[in-house]
Amino acid sequence: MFWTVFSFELNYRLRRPATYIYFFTILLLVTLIIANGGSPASEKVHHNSPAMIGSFFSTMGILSILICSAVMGVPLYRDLEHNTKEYLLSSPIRKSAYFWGRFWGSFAILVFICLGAIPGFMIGSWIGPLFDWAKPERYGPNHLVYYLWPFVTLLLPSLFFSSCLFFGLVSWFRNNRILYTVSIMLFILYLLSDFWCAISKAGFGRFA
Amino acid sequence: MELLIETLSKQYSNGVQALNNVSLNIPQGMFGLLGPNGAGKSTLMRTIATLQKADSGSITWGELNILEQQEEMRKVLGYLPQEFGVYPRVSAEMMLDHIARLKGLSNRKERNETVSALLQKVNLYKERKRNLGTYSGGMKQRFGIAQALIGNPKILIVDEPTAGLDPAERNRFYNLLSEIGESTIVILSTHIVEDVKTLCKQFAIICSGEVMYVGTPHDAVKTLDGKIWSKAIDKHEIEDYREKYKVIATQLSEGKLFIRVVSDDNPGEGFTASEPTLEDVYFNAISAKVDLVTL
Ligand SMILES: Nc1ncnc2c1ncn2[C@@H]1O[C@H](COP(=O)(O)OP(=O)(O)O)[C@@H](O)[C@H]1O
Ligand SMILES: [Mg+2]
Repeated sequence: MFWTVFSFELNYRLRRPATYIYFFTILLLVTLIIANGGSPASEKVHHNSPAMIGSFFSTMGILSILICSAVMGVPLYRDLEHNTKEYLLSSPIRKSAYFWGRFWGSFAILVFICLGAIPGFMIGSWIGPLFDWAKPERYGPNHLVYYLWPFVTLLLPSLFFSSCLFFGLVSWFRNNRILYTVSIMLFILYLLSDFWCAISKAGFGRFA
Repeated sequence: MELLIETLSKQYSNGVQALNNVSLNIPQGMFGLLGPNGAGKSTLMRTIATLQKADSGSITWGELNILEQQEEMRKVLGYLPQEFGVYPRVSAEMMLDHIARLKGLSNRKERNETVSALLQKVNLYKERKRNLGTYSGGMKQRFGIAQALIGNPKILIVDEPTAGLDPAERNRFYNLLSEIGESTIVILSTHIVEDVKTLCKQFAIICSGEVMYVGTPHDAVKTLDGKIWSKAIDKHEIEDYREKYKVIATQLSEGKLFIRVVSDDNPGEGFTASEPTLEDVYFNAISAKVDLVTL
């Protein structure tokens, strides 16, 4: 029963253009950032060094909140939006299978979308020197594991956290407008905390 | 096996008493629920379909306590809601396949056969690859019928299924339903007397959440034998007649108003005796609850 719901969710999402639009948007953005040497790496650090990849993915955990709310907000809301709940829910479908099938199906799609960052990185570090947008010595070798490790340890937990939050909010409020508010609020909180970190690191003296 | 509904009551949070002590025995075959809009038909059907709770009362089918054993009930249930939507960007075939899997048809070959047989039955086979969002109202309704029939339900509940169908589609649907009704409990709600007359062995008239009549259409008509009187009057006289008689039907024709009244004895005054019809039974039954003459 779980697999029925899960595979339908995957199947459904893989037919939707939005999935690929998000995937390629991320891929393209990351390609351009890396190819232009736009990473915050200092002069002696490779743009695609494991440390850079790690910090990039942890920042992406925040930036992906918007995509996350778009992807995780729809699956439960879909049956309210299209008024399909009556006949779907009169089938012998377990609540838990319905809930978790849609959750994990959507989460798998979200992970797929975010994986777009990896080819983005790789392509960026390849075409950057090729088109002379950045110096070749600013790029090191690409190993898949340099990407997968921070993806799993840094990005994935953030995605999971925001997914639970958004999915839970929709199932609680039965409405997905709340997500815009909450994702913007999360974003503002992030910016504020970032700002406070910067202040406390730099000391108030600098701002005085 | 009969479906037994006993003293079922439901009040919505806004104070509307949608069901008031409803008791019905629903045998195998086509059972019609006839009532005006707002009578409580959908509420009753949604309750049988385990989609909402009642305040009190019980619904049982053999050993099965439907209000408690929801999952067991859903395994034998087919339900066509009065209003429903579709995922606009999924094909009919894919959606039916999904519902078939949810209903437990796990064997792929068997499922494919079931789905194409159903698509053929409701005449959507040619359009099976089209996205549901591109379907017309009638096609959507036929899709809804197909999804309700998946898995050979033992109890089929169809809520105003003929609304939105054109006459040809309606006829085809009548045939389909009466075929199924031979081996299944089919509960059909409608506000169209014609539906009941054509299809149902048994029917109930409900109004304001109460059962006003249960029986066969034939017996129902017999209850009014010799009690229906008709007359052509002038339009402006209608108020006088409504005060004096129980007027159950009015029909305007060639500038004259034809009225039908119920009376045990000949009212005289130019009234002539008329053969009772199922419409007469229906309007007579609900006249106590709703205002019939809307001139
Ligand atoms: N969810 C609801 N909340 C409040 N009142 C409702 C709800 N659903 C139906 N009603 C009311 O209950 C009564 C019966 O409705 P319904 O069962 O839909 O009747 P029918 O299907 O016979 O037209 C109506 O007066 C309707 O307005
Ligand atoms: Mg209704």
